[in-house]
Amino acid sequence: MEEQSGARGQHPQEGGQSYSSLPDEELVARLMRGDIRAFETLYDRYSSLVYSLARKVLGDSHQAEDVTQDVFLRLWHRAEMYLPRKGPFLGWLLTVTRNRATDELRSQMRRLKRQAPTGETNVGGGDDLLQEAHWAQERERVKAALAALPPEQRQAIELAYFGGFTQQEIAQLTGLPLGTIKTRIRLGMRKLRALLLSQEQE
Amino acid sequence: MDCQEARELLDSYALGALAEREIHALEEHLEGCSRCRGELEEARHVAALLGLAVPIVRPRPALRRRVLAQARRPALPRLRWLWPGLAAASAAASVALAALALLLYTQVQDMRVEQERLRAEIFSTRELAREHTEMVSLVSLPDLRLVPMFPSPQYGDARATYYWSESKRWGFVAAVNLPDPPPGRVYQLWYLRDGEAHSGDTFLPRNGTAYHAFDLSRLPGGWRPTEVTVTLEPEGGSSQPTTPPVLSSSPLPR
Repeated sequence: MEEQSGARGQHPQEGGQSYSSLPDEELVARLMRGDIRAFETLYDRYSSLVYSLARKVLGDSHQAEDVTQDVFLRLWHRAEMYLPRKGPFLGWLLTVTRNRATDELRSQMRRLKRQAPTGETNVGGGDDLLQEAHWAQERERVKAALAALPPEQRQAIELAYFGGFTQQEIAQLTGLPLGTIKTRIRLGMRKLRALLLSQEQE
Repeated sequence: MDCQEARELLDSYALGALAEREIHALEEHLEGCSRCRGELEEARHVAALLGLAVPIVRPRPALRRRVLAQARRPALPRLRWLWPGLAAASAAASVALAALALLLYTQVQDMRVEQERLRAEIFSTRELAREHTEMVSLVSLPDLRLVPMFPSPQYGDARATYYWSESKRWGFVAAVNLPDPPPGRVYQLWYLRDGEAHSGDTFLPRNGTAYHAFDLSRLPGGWRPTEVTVTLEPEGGSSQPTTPPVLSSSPLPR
């Protein structure tokens, strides 16, 4: 097995197309048939994103590595959990990552020791990794949409999504009435939806 | 809950910011309302995209080596076939064996066709063939044991059996009449003892049928469960059960 995979490594374009140019869904289909090159390609495409999201939620690089490993091994062993008809692969991967990370957070009660996130989104950053990243353009769109929200709406949404807090917890954290938090989340999400989904249809 | 109340909660639900009690009420409404489910899909899509906005940090190259090494390691049997209409999942082991033999035969035939079509995938086919062989040897194990699993009233039509082998540290669940989980949820198996729960794995039924293998060697050494349950959990699974069981086994004999 070892020596053959080495030899095959010389000719990744056997099928006429290199793996790195294949769309996610095709790679997942290959991965489900046990193709480890497809898995490697998806890892290289998304590991920094998965890791960064887990790290943002957990605030700890060691735990973020564990979550990243867990997410990708889950993908490898149980790729059938992804249902293409329910939406794009990237959305699924991010959802699974976020759920695993906040779940980890809750189970360890680390939240008690942790500083509440400030609600700031990093809007700068010229990492050259991003220039070539598959999802760089989509990321710019999301960052712009978040930046377009009133800060209080953005904060409520970020506390929920990245902080893993419930509406009730956010109300406690911020000292604001629950109704206010609910409204902020709803208005913010409505605006994001308008900004992100309308552009997508164009 | 009516549609208007549901709409008020959908965004927070998609962000994972609802309390348990609100989740149950909302999910009940979603089950019967395709329009709200459509709305939810959109909200989920937007929520998922938020993950893109994080500051990007590259993980250490050592992580890549670790993940790929783990993936290359031969895992437990990767079973994702259907259990073909075996209505009496709790029937005698011989029935299970016969059905399994047929299933394996069909699978192997399918694999052959695929092998011809996709010669680049010889490796995975070989791996599956090995798993098949392993399966046959497992089912004929003298220590293969089974207990019936009982559905909660809401899932009254479901029938399931849990099989396991101590010597191989391997277990599987066969279930029929198991409805598709609500959107964004999956089934997850739990091993229980004295209030302690260890995760098996998540799985989804196809056409109401689930047949799923679990690697018992992932449980802590020396720890033996006294019960097995299945709950509904968010996509990706939970580290502890967060909902009441859908299926519960009778006590596992020692």
